[in-house]
Amino acid sequence: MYLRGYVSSREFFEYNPPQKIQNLAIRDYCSSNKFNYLLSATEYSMKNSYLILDEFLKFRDGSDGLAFYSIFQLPLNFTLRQNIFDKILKKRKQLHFSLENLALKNKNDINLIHNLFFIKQSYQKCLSLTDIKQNLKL
Amino acid sequence: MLNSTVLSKNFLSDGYLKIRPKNQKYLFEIQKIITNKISKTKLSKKNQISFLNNFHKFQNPSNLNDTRLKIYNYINSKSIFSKMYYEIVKEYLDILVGNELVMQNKINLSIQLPNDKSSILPMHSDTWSGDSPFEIVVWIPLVNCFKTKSMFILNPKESKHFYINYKKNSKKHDSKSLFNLYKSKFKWIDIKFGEVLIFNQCLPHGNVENITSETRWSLNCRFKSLFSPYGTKKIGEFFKPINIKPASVIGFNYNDPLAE
Repeated sequence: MYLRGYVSSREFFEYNPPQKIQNLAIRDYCSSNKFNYLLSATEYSMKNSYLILDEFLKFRDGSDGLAFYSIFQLPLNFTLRQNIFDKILKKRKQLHFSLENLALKNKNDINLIHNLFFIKQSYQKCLSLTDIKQNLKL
Repeated sequence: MLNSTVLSKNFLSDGYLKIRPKNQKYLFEIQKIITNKISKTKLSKKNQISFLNNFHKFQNPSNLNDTRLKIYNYINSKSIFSKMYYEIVKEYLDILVGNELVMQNKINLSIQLPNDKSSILPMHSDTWSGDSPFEIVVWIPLVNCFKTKSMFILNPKESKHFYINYKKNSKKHDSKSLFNLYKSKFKWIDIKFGEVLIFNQCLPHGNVENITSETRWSLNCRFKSLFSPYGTKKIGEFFKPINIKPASVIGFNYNDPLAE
């Protein structure tokens, strides 16, 4: 199976890893799972840009799927994310996420990925340890 | 029925709970999955422990980490393994942590051969290397652990002293002399296969060279509440949700009608 790497050039949530690290993680994931790694496509740094992702979701390169550094590179917006999943499954392709060691191969995998996003987004609104201590006057 | 008040009080005062879970079947199953992976023959329940205890007689110490990784990858490729791990301690975690939880994506395996200096974990707290103080550790021995074949922990009272004096002590002590300073205060955990240790990983703990004549085998895994503060080990990369309650699902799907 041939997977096209997909790396970011802007931060996502609290992550902003160097591209070298993103590529290393993807390469390691592909090697551990016996996938052929195709040189990564790099998303533009402009906020909310998914131009490169959209392009590679057309799979004109003949690859079998995309290997992300992390699931959190996917769009924050639920509908945009779901559209990507629908497109992938319709084309019988796959999405792989190196950092989380997860993959989207069929419908059953969608829920976990959305849930991880929901938790991450909700968690941003939760109190930090410092906030908790201040509020409880600990 | 567990007494949540007593369990909570003991956990807070001692820094750990040693329990004998009702679900012994899963403990044997976990032990069996591991022994089957490395033993060339099928072993009876009784022989599983003996095989693990005597593992150093068949294992070349220089290849130990390769063997450990082989088993680690194998157990973590089976989703049933982490499900059983959680089920073993579920009723205790409900009391100590909550019932909407995340657990480590991958359960850790520790193998400590007799006289093997490469597997020593010096005194530490997991929080010092990025774990959230809201996490607890579930430690499952696969063999009987005692003395240097086990682990030590500093109780909350002594830990408070340790933390208050840490700034001063860390300037004049290295990790070895710091260890010696508190050595007499450590609680050495004596625990049998069939029992499980749940401990507060903020408390200094660790192990020393195993100078018994048996190999130590243990598993460890961290659990925390879904929405309590995370350390540098995040949801997705390190933790996975294991039960999301309906109120959270409602919250996830709620959209502010005036939001853009």
